[in-house]
Amino acid sequence: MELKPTAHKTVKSMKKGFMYYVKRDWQLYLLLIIPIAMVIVFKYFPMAGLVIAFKDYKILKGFMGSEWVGFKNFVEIFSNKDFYRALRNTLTLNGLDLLLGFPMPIILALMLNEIRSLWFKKINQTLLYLPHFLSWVIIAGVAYQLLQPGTGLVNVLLRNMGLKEVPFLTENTHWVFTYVFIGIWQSMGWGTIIYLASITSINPELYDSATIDGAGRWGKIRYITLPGIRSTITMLLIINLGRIMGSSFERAHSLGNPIVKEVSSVIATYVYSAGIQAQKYSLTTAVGLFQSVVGLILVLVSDWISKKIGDEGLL
Amino acid sequence: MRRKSTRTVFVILSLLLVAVLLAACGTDTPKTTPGNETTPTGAALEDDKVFKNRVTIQIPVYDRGVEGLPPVDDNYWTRWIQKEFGDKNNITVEYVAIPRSDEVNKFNMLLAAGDAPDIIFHYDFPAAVAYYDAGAIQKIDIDMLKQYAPTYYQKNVDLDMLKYGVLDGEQYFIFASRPTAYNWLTMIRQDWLDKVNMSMPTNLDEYINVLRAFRDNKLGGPNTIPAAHRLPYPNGYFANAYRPYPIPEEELALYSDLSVVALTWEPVKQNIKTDNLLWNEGLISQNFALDSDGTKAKADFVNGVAGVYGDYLTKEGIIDVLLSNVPDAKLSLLPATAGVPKGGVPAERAYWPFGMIIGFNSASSEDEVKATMMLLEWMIQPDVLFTLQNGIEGKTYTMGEDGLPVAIGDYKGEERMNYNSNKDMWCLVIEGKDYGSEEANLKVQMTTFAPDGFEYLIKDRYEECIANQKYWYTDFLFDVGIPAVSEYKSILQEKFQEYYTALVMCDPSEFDALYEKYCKEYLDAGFQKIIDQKKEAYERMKK
Amino acid sequence: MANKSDFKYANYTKSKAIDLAADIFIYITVALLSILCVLPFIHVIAKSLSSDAKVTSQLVYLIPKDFNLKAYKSVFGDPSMIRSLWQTIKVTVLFTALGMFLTICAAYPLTRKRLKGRNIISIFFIITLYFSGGIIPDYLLMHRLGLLNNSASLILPLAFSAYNMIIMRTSIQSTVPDSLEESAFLDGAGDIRILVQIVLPLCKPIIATLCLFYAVGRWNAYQDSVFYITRQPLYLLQHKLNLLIQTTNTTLTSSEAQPDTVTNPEVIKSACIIFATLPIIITYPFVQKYFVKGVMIGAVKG
Repeated sequence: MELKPTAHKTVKSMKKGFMYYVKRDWQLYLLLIIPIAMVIVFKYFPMAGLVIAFKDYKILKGFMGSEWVGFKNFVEIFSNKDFYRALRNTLTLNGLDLLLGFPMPIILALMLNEIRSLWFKKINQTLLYLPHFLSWVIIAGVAYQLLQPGTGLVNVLLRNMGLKEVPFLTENTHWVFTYVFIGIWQSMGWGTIIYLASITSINPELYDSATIDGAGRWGKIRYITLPGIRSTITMLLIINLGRIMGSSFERAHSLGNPIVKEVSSVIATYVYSAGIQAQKYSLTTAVGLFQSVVGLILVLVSDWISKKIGDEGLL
Repeated sequence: MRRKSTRTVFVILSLLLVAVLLAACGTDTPKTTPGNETTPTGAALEDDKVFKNRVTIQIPVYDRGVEGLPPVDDNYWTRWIQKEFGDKNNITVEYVAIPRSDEVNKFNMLLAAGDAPDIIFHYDFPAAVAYYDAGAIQKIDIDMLKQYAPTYYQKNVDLDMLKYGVLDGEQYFIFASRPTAYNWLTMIRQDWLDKVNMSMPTNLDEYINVLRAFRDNKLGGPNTIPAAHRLPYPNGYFANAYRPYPIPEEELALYSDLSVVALTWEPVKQNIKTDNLLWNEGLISQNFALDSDGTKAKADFVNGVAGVYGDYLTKEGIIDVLLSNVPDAKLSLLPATAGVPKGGVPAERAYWPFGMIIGFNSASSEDEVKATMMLLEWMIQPDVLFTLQNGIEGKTYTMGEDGLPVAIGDYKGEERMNYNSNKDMWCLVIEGKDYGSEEANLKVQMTTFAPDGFEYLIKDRYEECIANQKYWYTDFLFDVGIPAVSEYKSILQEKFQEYYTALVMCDPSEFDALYEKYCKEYLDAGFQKIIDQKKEAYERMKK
Repeated sequence: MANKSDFKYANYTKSKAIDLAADIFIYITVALLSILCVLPFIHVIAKSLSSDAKVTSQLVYLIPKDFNLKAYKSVFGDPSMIRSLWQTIKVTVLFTALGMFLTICAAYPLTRKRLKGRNIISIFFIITLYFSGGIIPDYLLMHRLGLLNNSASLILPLAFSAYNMIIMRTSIQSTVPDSLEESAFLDGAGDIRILVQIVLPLCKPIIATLCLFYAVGRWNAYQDSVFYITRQPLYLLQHKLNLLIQTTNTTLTSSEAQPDTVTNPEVIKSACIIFATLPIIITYPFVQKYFVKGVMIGAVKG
């Protein structure tokens, strides 16, 4: 195992070094081969299609045959007023979702964890994640039946109680908050699952010693539970930050209406009418590329920050 | 020992996966690309138009996701067509299901993969032209059409439809014919009119007064909606009654369009202004903007809350529900003149003489095109068409005394018809049922579209159409595609709904200023480009 | 063990009364939220059990009007719905199995800090979370692989989820201490053996969770089925459902004549929604039992 002192010493030692790692961890690399192969075939091969963001894509000319136009598509997008409106709305809505919606499943999970009655816990858990299974088309239909002015049930109730009607879905600011709160309602139950799974992985002995030390419920939460799920929280936070440029077409499209177009037009809906409906696939891909790049940058930045403050980070 | 076996297992697994991937990558084009068939071009036909070598054609058929029906691409009727037509001519007819709600994307994907059917169709003209612009449509050889589909060709000639399919001097599209249907109408609650002692309105002013009376007397309960109103279709706001009559051809060319609403046009402005008045006075649905598919408007009408409702009449689902909620309701046709302001005429858009717009895939071989033309020719034969449209006597229909077939609604046997009497199959030749004479057609429509006892609505509408025919207009026909329309129509359609809503719901005093602002934005968003291109094309044609 | 010097807990010793108040608050809040969550479902169920006339008039809220089971008879009597149900179950099970396998294979090695290239491989996977070619490249790939109209197109491409992989990796890292691995190494165990015999049993809650995520993710998604599958017997359930509840014409085309019947009555749509959603909902209680307090048998001390 000794290195012969030759002129190619460095090269040999490097080579040997690499092989050394492969030999030592061959089982790990073997495990990795299969997912890597799948990802290359099903995710990276199609990524070659991103090239049409820089072309004037014509269906029958194909990817290669279409004319190269460089950044023309991006220029077109970024000089469009509607795009900026969509961008602004996307950031606002996603930002609010993150701010108000991210903590909700955590809080709910902590509350559920405190429930000692097993049957009560089970039933409620099952009910809480039901909204996750309804498509936005259905949810929007119900939302309008409840919240529309005049005949919406909630507004009828308010009127009967002598209060003023609330334009939940027909006034810009109201609509934004309605959108966010319906989103929270839809996802908070489902979001608790991952946190609850994390909580169960916390060593129960920690709780026992805390009780012995005299900690009350809040103390346990603060010093044991929360730190115990901290890595999960950080990981989800980073991933969600990376999604801040994304948008759900169905949610914005179903909940929106022409009255609140100014705030309900998001990137997904903009791409739908300016890109897909108009058969301008180059534009669609260009916007998608922009979203992806921003998302990745955000992930890398937040990952770096989280490592700086001592967390594991994503990478 | 264990170590070795685990190692072996995993090595084998990974080799397997790699092998599978290699094998998969090796598979090349699928078996169904058109043009891959063995028929040589040219003289492949023998006597009686039977192909010497088997030809496979692919025909698109809409899939509307209707629950309870057999698959649209494999059912009794697809097999019947294969047996009666395909097998007799050595042709395999394959149907390709196209989702109705996402057809353009589906066609585009098939085109990108080289997998598209031999016919490429659409109901919308700009969409069809978009396919042509993408190079997906091949030129039609008129002589070939005359030879292999003479009846179909003749129909196109008789109805003077061929000209619509000419682009850049060549024939690219042919058309299915479209018998006129009289089922789009507006109904008014006659019992409400009687209650307020008013006669049927014959112009806009009278109509507004009637609506006011409905409102003031709360005839539909505390939340009375005099006239149900929905969010207009994103492309369907024509301001018919506000147009000048007769209309100057250039105005017609520039502003009358089925794809994009001419927001900046004066008649449209006046129409929106009227809607603004109606809304502010509470005469139309206050929440119309939330009703993009018309279900709320329909619900209000069948609930007895609204007094006026316009829609395509169907046998079930409207009047029957209304009567179940309000047994004493009486209905009459609201005349088209009720919407006409002073100085206007009851103009309406004349229906196109055609229904489905049909083009042939540019990747299709000559034999495939010939075979497809033969299919169209066969389907347009009266006996074949009759069977396709009505089914099997005794099972899916019976003959009425007047010699007209009456459908048996809920036949569930093997020969059951596909959605809407197999319409998505025979829509390639005709868009409705044609019984030979106007009289016969009207009779059948009356029983098809209206529930028992209300057939007079269809009849009244028919008579009104005949009387007003002279005011009806057809859109101007350009001899080229207008690229700006395909490019901007989606964005403009969306904007129209946004601006219309704001304009109708604003205070009347703010209307003019808001309108100016929106016109400018509308022009900037692409409408100006459309106008410019249209003007250029028009002037070139007029030279 | 009884270290009374841990004074930080001193301030948090609560009295019984406040504990009880907190309990009541929690129970009531959770119950209210649950009710809020289940109401729309009850609404859809009510619609599916009512008569079409009442539903069209939008008169049905939480109680069925004109109670009847016609819609369900129609749905259950429709062989294509049943076939679609079985097809979807098959695809979901295969998808979940493959997905879990791939996730574990990728996640475990990436938890080992000694792995050379760990960072690069992680980034390699994470990029797929944010970048994708789009519908047309994906479609062309399926076409090239000959997987169109083949259920494999619904299983293979999406089976590996980088999102789930990250969750798995993070979970392993925080659940399984390195000391366990070290002592196993000393005993002569290889990586794969450690994974199978030590790590996986400790990760039961997270595996159950991810299985649920995969299953539900596959069950609810239909976009790929819309584009890859044209043979109706192979349609996924949600794909069929989506076709049903779509409002088809949103633009006026004067060329297309209107049908003489309504496409899908509201009642049928509602029944189909319930039919398509119930199967996946009832899988949760089975997974729940894995969310019991964690087991750390024979944990290494210190």
